[in-house]
Amino acid sequence: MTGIRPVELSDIEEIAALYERVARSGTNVVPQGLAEQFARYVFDHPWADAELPSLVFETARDGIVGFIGSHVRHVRVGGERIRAVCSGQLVSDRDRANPTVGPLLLRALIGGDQDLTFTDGASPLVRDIWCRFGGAVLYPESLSWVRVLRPSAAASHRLLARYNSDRLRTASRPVMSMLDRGAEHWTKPSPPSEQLRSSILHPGDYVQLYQRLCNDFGRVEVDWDTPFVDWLMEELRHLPSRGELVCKAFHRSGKPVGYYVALVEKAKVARLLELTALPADVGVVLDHLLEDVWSAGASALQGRLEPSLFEPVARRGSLIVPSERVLFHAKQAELLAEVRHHHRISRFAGEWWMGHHTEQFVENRGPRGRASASWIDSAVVHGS
Amino acid sequence: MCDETRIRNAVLGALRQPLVIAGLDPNDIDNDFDILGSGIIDSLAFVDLLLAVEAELGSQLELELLDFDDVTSLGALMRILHRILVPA
Repeated sequence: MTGIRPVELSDIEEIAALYERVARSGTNVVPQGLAEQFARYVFDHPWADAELPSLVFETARDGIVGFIGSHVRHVRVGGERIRAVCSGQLVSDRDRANPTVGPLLLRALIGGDQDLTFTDGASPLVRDIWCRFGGAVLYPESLSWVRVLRPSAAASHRLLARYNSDRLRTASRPVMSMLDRGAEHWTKPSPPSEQLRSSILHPGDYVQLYQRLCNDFGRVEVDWDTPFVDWLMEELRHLPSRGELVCKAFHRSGKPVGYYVALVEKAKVARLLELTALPADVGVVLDHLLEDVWSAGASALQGRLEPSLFEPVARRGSLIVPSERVLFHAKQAELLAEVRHHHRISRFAGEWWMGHHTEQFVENRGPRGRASASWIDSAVVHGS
Repeated sequence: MCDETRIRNAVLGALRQPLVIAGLDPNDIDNDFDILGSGIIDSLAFVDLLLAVEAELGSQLELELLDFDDVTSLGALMRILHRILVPA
């Protein structure tokens, strides 16, 4: 058999090996846990749907030479459920496949039975291919905002990332801390103008608050349910390379006004996955987030530039930088237009966070025996 | 009508720019030319080729089951496209 077909559970080891060769170490040594992670993300989650499968490109001579992930998301448009897929990892083996594999996999995925396809971790090459197939790039969501908190730590983190040396990082930390303490007067975020009461945002709370607060914003919404959010948060809790998952809700006089979901790590860049609040409270919830991230010792806070966040982040000394592209494709032009102007699909619902290429796969997750790791966060197509 | 001449013209029309960039004259390309092995097209150029051929021939090509290992030459690609467009 040669060509594209739906992925099968028995393909997982081969996909993990392909991924290791193409997007991770470049070797054939597949770390323990990578295949299990693929299996969980592709087959073993509450929204897995065999009718909207991930795809492989297989040749008679070399086996699987290409893979594209399909991550099913339940989406509502104006209250009506549509079928949606988040297009995930796209890899093809440069040595064994020709330049046709990546584009054909992408076209096959986009041409699936879903109404809407999106991705939030695309490279410029994937953006170009995607647009030729009728998709659209979303702005300003393809930009990121960065609020630098500890400039020396942020700079050293970025500079030392290329050496991947924990010893170098640890050795430089005291000097960077001293420099950053001297700069605190300029970089420490202002305290929130109002102290809101906070609570842990559990999966069930998230579903309720998303629905309650989301209705004020957009017609294209994720149709969350507690089992899926529970699964998602559990996965996010086990990504050492991304930091600690922090989920908080905020209340005024007993009524919820907003929440955030972020990944935070000391001396590294914290990542916001989603911040939702009543329109008048976006700023104060953002202030609470900045305060929390500062207290945790993060070097900076980075997030996707959602339209609702533009003014609040611009007023808090943030930098705006190009980021992974957010792409959508819909079979109906009306749906694509709706998404452009009225969507509430954040990084929390996407595949950006998966970070498969960053995880070390060294720690076991316990009773279920799953490794604490994930795969890549941006689509890779060879031939660029 | 989807004869091989029309397919050839569509393919070469789409390849014109990559060929010229590579210093090749599209008029000198014969059926033995190795399209994929020559390195003149990357993923994006392939998409452009695919879409240009589809636009020229007026139909979407169902390439998902195509074995591109068989695409060893321009002639081979034309035969495959002909087979897809004009099933036996």
